[in-house]
Amino acid sequence: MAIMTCETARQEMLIGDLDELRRDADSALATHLKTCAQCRSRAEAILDGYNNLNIALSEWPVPVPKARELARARHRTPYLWLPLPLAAAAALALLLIRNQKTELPDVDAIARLILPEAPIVAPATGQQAVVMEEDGFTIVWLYDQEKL
Amino acid sequence: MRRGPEPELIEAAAHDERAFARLLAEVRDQVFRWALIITGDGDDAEDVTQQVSMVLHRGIAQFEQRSAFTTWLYRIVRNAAVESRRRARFTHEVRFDPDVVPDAVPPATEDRLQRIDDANAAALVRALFTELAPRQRELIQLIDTEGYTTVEAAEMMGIAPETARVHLLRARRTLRTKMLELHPERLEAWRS
Repeated sequence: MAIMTCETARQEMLIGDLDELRRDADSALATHLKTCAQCRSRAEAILDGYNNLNIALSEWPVPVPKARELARARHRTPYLWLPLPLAAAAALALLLIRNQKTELPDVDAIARLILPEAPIVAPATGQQAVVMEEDGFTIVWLYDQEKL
Repeated sequence: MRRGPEPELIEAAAHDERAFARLLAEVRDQVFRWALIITGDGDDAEDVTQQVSMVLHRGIAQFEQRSAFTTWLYRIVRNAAVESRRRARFTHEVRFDPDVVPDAVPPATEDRLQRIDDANAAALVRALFTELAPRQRELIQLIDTEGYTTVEAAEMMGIAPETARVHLLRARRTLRTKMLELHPERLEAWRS
């Protein structure tokens, strides 16, 4: 293996693999760093930089999942899944209100008017209903308020 | 998350809601980190993380394990992040280009930088987001930080390994030059 000069090592350490900077590789740069204290000091400054960067990024607070995300994760099977024409779905969506002070309308009665044969689960006390339209289906998610 | 979740958990998550919730909890931090690196914006990263959760929810049953789960997941994150930046274009007049270095740090990122106690670390994070293009940041993260090979990272990003290599070397040079600038005492010791 050819002997590397310090000038070359200075350039190589700007682009080399981290294993080389750690002197844990079979390369001319790694070999040079084992023998040259000054170049090794520069390499260690780079390694310190990566360490500081990783710590700073790992401490970046990950946001707490929002309610909708939790609801979707927990309730894979919708309690109410109605294939509705768009107008009927819009009407149903307007009637389902996410408001703690307002009593939820009688979803059961409304849905039977639109699609009498479909199985229906009405929201119970303490539950909230969120209506979504996906791929031509109207999906109603029911989840417990206290678990949000 | 170098190796990703256990295959049994991935398989179970396709059929069981509790398994899916466990899978989501296991990958969420990693998803956020990837989203942050790609978008350079904490707020966007949060939105992307939520979007990815929903895409995972819809798509986990179709994951056939022909590719590595992390590769599949990374592509979902990447697509969501790119789409998030494109949507931002219409509201914030931000042009997204994976090879363009941003002009400035977004407010959410600036806010976070102010909270980093270590001045050198803050300077490096700022350099990461203002002196590297998104594609370069991805390569630094995947290869230098997470230990993927250039070929693996290229596959995750959907680019040719040769392209990945070129961008990686440019990114390393930029970032490491900054790292050395933050330690002038070591530079002076070398010069003397």
